[in-house]
Amino acid sequence: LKPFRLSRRTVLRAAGISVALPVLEAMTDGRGHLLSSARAAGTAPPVRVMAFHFPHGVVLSKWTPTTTGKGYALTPGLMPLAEYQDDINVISGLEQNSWGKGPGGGHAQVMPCFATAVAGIGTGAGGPSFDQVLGAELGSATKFRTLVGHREQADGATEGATTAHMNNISWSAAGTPAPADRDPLHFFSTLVSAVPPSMSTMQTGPTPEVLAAIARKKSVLDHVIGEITKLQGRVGSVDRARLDNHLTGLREVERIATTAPTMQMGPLCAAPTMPTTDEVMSYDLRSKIYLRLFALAFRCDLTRYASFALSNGYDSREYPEISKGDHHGITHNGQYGPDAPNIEMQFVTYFAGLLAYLLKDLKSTTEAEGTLLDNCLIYYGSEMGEGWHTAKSMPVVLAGKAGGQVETGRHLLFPDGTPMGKLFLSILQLAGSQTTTFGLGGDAPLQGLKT
Amino acid sequence: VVRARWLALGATLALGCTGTVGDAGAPSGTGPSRQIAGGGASSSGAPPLAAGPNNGFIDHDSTALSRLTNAAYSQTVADVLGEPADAASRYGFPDDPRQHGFDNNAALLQVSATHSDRYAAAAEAIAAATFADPARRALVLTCDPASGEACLKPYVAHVGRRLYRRPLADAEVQDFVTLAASSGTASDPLAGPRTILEAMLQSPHFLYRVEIGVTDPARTDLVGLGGFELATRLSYLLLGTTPNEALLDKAQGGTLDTAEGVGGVVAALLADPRTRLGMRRFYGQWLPLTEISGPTAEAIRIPHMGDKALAADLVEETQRFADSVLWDSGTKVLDLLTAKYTFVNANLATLYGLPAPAQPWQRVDFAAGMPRAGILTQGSILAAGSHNGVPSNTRRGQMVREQLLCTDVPPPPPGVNANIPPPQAGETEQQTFKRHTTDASCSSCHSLMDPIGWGLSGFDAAGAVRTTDSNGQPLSAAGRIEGMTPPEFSGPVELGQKLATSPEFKACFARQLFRYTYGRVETAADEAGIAELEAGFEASTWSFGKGLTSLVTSNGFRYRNRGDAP
Repeated sequence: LKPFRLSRRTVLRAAGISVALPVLEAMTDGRGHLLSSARAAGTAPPVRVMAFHFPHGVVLSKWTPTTTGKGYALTPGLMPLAEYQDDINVISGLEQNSWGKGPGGGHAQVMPCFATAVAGIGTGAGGPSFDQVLGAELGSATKFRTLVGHREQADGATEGATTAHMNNISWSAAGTPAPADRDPLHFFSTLVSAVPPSMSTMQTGPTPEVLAAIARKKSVLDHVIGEITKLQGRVGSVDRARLDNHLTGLREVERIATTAPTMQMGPLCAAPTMPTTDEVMSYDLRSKIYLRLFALAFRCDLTRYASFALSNGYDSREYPEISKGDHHGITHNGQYGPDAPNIEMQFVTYFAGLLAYLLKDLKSTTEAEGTLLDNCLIYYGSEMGEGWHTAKSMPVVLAGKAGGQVETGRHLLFPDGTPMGKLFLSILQLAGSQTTTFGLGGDAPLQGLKT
Repeated sequence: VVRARWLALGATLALGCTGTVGDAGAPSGTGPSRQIAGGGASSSGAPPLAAGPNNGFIDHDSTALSRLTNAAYSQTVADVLGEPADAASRYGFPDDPRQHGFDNNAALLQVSATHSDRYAAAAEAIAAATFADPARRALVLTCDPASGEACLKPYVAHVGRRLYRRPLADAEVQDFVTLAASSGTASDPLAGPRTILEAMLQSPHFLYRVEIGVTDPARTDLVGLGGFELATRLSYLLLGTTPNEALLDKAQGGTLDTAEGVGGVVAALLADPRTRLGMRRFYGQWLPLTEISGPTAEAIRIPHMGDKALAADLVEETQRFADSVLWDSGTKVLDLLTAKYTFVNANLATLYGLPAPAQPWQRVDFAAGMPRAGILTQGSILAAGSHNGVPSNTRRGQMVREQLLCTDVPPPPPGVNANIPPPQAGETEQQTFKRHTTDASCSSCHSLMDPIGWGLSGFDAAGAVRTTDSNGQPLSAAGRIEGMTPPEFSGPVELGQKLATSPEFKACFARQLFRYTYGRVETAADEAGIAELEAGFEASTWSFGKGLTSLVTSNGFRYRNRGDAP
């Protein structure tokens, strides 16, 4: 694949609409190659960040490498990532130390911690997840501040908490989930509608009809915003806060409605092919639809921050495509006895293979002087350490170099009990956030991660 | 500006007070002001609400905005605009979060950017579909839009009243006319009306049930619901949808401004067959039928994965049974746990070992000695208490604890080994589990759940009778409900009777209905209201209809604390 180029400026000028251009375009030579002056000036392609969740932990004895630093021997759990050993870091020793302090059972407690590192509260996570922090702080240059996907439809389990706990890893604020797209076809159409159907629309810019439609949508949204603002003056503080949240979302919709039709992507961002119903029904293919679309979104700069969950927090379905038995039951041994860890590892290696699928896509796209993957930070992990409900020694793979800021190919082992929040703070800062503390115990970045 | 409705908790009556309902200047009920009193006569001529067991509690929650659930949204646009069913899922609305099984917790029903995005897309599509279909268009537009304001204004007033569930103020109508002018084109006279509808479907006055209420200068800490607000609350609670024209007419005519009028409206709503469907949302989430009827759930619980037909039959059985128990004359809520009959089709008759029914669905009375009674022996509940086709004593016991007895069972502590050991030869399932839960931190909670589930262990994951446990060993019908006196029972029929006669179940039923009615989880300050709700059912010998009546005519349902609203 060739490098892509954002070609918005001409179009925007024609449309008479001004938006901030990303560094990426300004600093490339027109063929997507980063100008050496840009590197020297300390500017670089944006760091793309993703939180990628797999369920029910790992068998640590078959996952954690026995040596640290470079050249570690791959374990059975990491074997599917062999081709990308030099593109990833394996991180061990981190603890989700906020677990056990929130409501809900062993599953409802941990899902909200996954990307927040803060205990759940009555209505969900006790704080925002790092993808949403980045989207709010740095996401205005792209059509979508963040993209949130979830392979599963919602599940009914609540475990004494709420379904919001079980069904969300991405949170815009304490108690407020960033709703996930759970329908791959809808996710597909959302992204494809952001990609121009052909070169011609890209070259000519918005038609008068498009501009009229933008104006009409803006009038409607302004009308709604006006109604909400008036209503705010008549209700109490709790409802005013509720309407504030509503207004924030509406303004984001307005931003997208008024600027996105004029944000044009390069030719390599042509729409992918429509997934088939068979693909949607298959665990494997359904997962890969999402992963392809996340890679597309990063490649085309539709968003820079994403999260994707493979499962709700409590998955007791059977997946003959992966292995026998139900995944939740197997992590508790169930009727499988001594064979259970081996069956469980079939899930673990299958999930790692999905990460490899994503990495392959990202690595095959050239960007600036390297690959798109070089400019990513993919946090791949689980809500548990081991599936029988542990929060210590969480399995983590951090893929990508954050634009050369992180040396990869290493196994980093941190002292037992090192808070997960430190990793998330590292990710935030590597992506350019001004955040200085994050989650429970995230008071400083992880030592030695940044080169 | 209208005369308002006043609450006097004692014999004192506040008279001559005024307030507004809806947006500034919006007309509301034109009838006489409603008098609510704990007793005493009204000098205005409006009858006071009779003092009763349910009239002391005032809802202390101050939320004036409850977002429509996805189910309510879908039903509303179907009723008002002829939109096909399931709009929320077709337009990709995020799932409503549920707590204690219920999807209508106002605190959880936020409007995120994703919601606004989907609401906008749905509004545009629904507005377009409404005007593209002449039959649907006629539901909202009966004049010629080419005639300009002469048509637009009555159109806005008509469709606005349906979607905002109250008349629009003149200023609101004018704003919509202005909006239409900015978007309409000469070539398409429907563009203006379409844009107006698109905006209304995203309006906070549509997406939320707005309950500003009216304040009594003598009791500025309280607000009472206006007639339109009360009509809306009643309609969504009982019917699961927006007030129809007739109910809005009653609100406009002031019928809901008097206690007598409210009583008449409530009686009519309870007699409306749609209320049976509407209240299915309450018990379907409480029991919880959602565990096997959700988008993916049936494949989890039912043996022979993916047997959606069986899952649907099991849900329908419980719905028919619960409808019968809750609404037939002479029945009572407690029969849910004890009634010696159910409803089956051919599929379920085979499953349960009953004679084939003569009609597609038929009531079957159990023969003496059959180990079945009430919902606990129905496949829907038994399947919800199973894992992947394997009955779980723990899960069945947990369901009884949490849903029927309102006991919050603490989750397993982190780091505890929750692995179930493989069964040893000749060991019963109970023995295996006892070995697993010898750890005191486990057994303290498992003893609350598992021994209840033992009483149901004679049924497989779909509700068929079985004679051996999951280890293939003989079954024991003996069970225990820790905390009850005496704790012992034997078999499913005794379990149902024991629960139905327990104070814990009665209190829990009231608590669950309270959560659903008020759309929130109770706080300590709500205990009085829950106790009153229970007393209302007790006083009406657990007739569902009478108990509901006392609930929705209570002061708690019609008034709330004003909080810090201006």
